[in-house]
Formats: sequence, structure tokens, C-alpha cells
Amino acid sequence: MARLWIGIVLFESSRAELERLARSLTAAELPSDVQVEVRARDNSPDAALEPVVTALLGRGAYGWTGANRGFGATHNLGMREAFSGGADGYLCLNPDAVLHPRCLRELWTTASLPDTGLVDARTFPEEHPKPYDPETGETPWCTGTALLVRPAAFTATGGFDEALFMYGEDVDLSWRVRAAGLRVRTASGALVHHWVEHRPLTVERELRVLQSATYLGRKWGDGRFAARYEQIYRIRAGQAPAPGTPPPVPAAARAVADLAHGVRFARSRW
Amino acid sequence: MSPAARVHVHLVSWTEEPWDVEESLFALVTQEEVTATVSVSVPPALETHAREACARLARLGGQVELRPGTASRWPPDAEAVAIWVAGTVATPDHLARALLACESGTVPALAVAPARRVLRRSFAARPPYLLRKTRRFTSSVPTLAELERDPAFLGRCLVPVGRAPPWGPGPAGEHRRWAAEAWAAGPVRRVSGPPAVDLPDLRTDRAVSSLDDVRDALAELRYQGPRWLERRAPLAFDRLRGLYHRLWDQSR
Repeated sequence: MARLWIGIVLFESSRAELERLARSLTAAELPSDVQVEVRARDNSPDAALEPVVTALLGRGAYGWTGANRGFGATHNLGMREAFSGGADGYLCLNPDAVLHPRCLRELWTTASLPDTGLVDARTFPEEHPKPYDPETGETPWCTGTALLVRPAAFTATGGFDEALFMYGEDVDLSWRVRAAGLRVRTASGALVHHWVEHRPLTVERELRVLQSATYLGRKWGDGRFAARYEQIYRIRAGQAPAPGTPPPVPAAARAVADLAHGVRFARSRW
Repeated sequence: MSPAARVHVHLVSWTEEPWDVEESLFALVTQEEVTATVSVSVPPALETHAREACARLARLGGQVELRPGTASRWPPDAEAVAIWVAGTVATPDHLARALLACESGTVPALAVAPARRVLRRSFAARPPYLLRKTRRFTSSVPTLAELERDPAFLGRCLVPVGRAPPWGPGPAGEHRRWAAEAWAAGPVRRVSGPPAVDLPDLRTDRAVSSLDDVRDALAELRYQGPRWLERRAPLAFDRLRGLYHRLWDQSR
């Protein structure tokens, strides 16, 4: 029996949102040889969500981290626990997502293809415009909304770069997984409802995007890319972005990175 | 809009593509702030799939009833009716926003949502691959001639139930006839805001043949131009955006 862990990172999530997610997990169709365990790690200032999560996802599903560690660092905690316990896959799942009932099955089928490190679901109703190969599913990078990580990808990379608090950590992980010789794919039949287009671009969110872009440019060896976004960050925030200089990726690995399409990190279909 | 206003959507499939039915139903069960009933009419080869898809998606627990088969009449408690061709998808707020637009004047109006046209490529046993999404120009008072160049155009429209012809259209020709009856019965209003509906591009002729095609191209250029600049020259884009906002704020 294969074991799939589902990790959900919470931060002051609403009850309605968690109810929708829980319903979609209950409705999920799974291959008969896959067993699922769900864990929610809460980065909120207090553990007020514990009774909600316990009621919806079961006893033992909730854990309070005590600090807002960010998306990648919190999922790394989950991946370490999952893979050290023998899990065959770890699904990073956003709390504001709704899985199509066939999503998990389709993700698992694609994750079972040879040499697969990461698999993402197609976001719906606004599909991400990055391309993928319709036959093989191969894609330049995987989005973090519903991202299945195989043990080989975690072993090769150690998970997300924890210096990226939010935004861009999925791009960075995808590039490192590809640089390690594994494939990253989109499961075209896996739909995950995640609608964020209506959310306003707050200054805080914009600064996080700019900070991540600067960091990725520096890390992946494109100083001009980093300088452009750093300059915009300085204009907005009146100071340099933190974190500072990351350890650069070896030159041989940089070929997988695409910094020619701005913060979309790939050619856009539309 | 009344609490949990009821909307009826008739979903009709013109092809045997199961993914189109699946995705349209997924978009309908995730609609917010309305209660929807959905009738589903598909070719015989898709009937089993449609029944299973309705059962599968009903488990998500949205405020929606999924009913395989054509409705013989619109539900008496429905406030408005929409006709979707399978492959049409919409943002979760689409029906609620369109219903508000219907009801925003003194006389209920037929509401037309801003839309994009989606060009896809089919693959056996896989969902269609989306090649391109392009914005469509929408007049402030949209005309039927402007809309119907997209065979699936009725997916953009929400019709007050009193104006909805009392029959479910099947093939494309019937959609035009149904729309003509609905258009003739009263005012038409555009829903404000960004595109809420993605229509499958089912045109057989994609040549530029009218002023409307030029307007579509300009609407797409107006959207894509700034984004192209943002990707290619983010700093220049940022400065131009700042200048634009300063001028805009001063002019108000």
C-alpha cells in the first residue's frame, strides 16, 4: 500500500474555506492501493483553529507551529516527517483550494511515471499560463497550490529554500529538482479550484514578490534580473530587500532556469 | 438580489468530449452566493459520463442541484436562466455578478459578462490543451451580432426568467434563435469588471472579417501590451505605471 501525505499550511484560515477543502478531500477518488494521511500545520498567532481542524480532518491532523515560518519552511517540516516515516509522496495543498474529486488520482498516476520528482495540478478556473507538454506533462516548473513531491525530489534537494518566505519557492524547487535530473510535470487531468484573481495586490504581497524575484535572480546567476527587481523593491519600500545574497547555484545547473519572462518564469500561453 | 437567489443553467454538449462537461460542471458547483440548478444535455455517447460526473461533483456540496437530461421547463423559482455549451467555464462570482447586473435597473435586463475566447487542441483520453486565451471587446450595450460570432456565446449571458424563451436550445442554430427571442424582449446590460467567462473557441472561420474582430484584437492588445512590458522591462513598466496613476489621480 502506497502512502500519500497531504500537508496543509494554515495562517488564520477561515472556517468556510477549511470546510470546502475538507469536503473535497472526503469526495476524493483514490486508487485502491493508496492510503492518505492529512496533516495541517498552523502558523497562526494562536491555536484557535485546532477544534475546527480536528472536527473536519480528524484527531491528530492539527499541529500549531507557534510562529509564522512561511510556506516553504513549514512544508519542509511536514516533508521531513512524512518521508522519514516512509511516505511515497507528499502533497503540498493550499487551504483555500478545492480538489476536483479525481484530482488526487490523476496526480498520483502522473507521479508514478518514471523519473518524476514533482507534479502539479492544473489550477481552475484560471489555469496558470505556463506551458506543459500535453503528452508527457513535462513543464518548466510546478505551482505550489497542489504540488506532489516524490521522495527522490526531497532527497535530492532537501525541499524548499527556506529563505523564500512566500512566492517563488515553488519555481526554485522545480528548477533544483530538474537540475538533479528528475522531471517535473503537470497532471493535466488533475484540477484544483483555486481562485485568487479577485484578491487585490497589496503592498505587502507586491513586496514579497519583488523580494523573491530579487533573490531568485541572485541565486540563479542573473544579476541584471535581480537588479531590476531590487530597484523596484527599493522604490516601493525605501530599503533593500531581505534576505540578502543566497549561495549561488552551480553554473552547470543554471541552464534549467528561465529568467527571460519576468516573474512568470516561463513562456506564457496567454 | 435575494438571499441565495436561484439560477438555472442548461448545459448542452455539442461534442463527445467528456472533459468539457466535467470542467463546466466543476465551474458550476463552485459558484458562490447563488443557488443553482443545472440540467445537462449531452450526446448519447456521453450520457453515462454525464450522470457519473453529476454524482461525483455533487459530493463537493456546493449550492447546486445537478440533473442529467434536458429541463422541460425552467424551474418556477429560478430568477434567471443561462445556457452553457460544454467547455464554458466561469469565475466563482460570475452568476452572482451577472444576476446583480440583471436586477440593477428599473426593468430587469439581460446581462452579458465580459469574456475570453479559448482556443484549445484535443488529445485522446486527455483534457484539451489550452493554446490561447484572448479577450473579447464588449460594447456597453452588447448586440447579438457582436456576440454570436462565438457559437458558445450564450455562456456569457444571463436572462431574467420572464424573458427566457421556454425551451432548451440544442444545436448552434437554436442558440441563435433562442438568443434572438430573448434579445427582442427588453434591455441588455454589460456586466462590469474583468472577464468572468471563458468560452471555448468553436468558430470554423477565424479570419478577421469585421470591425468587431478589430475591436477584439485591440482589446487583447490593450491587456497584453502592459504585461509584455512588465515582463520585458519591469522597471520601465513600474515608472510608467506610477506616472499613469499620478496623472489619473490629478485629473479626478
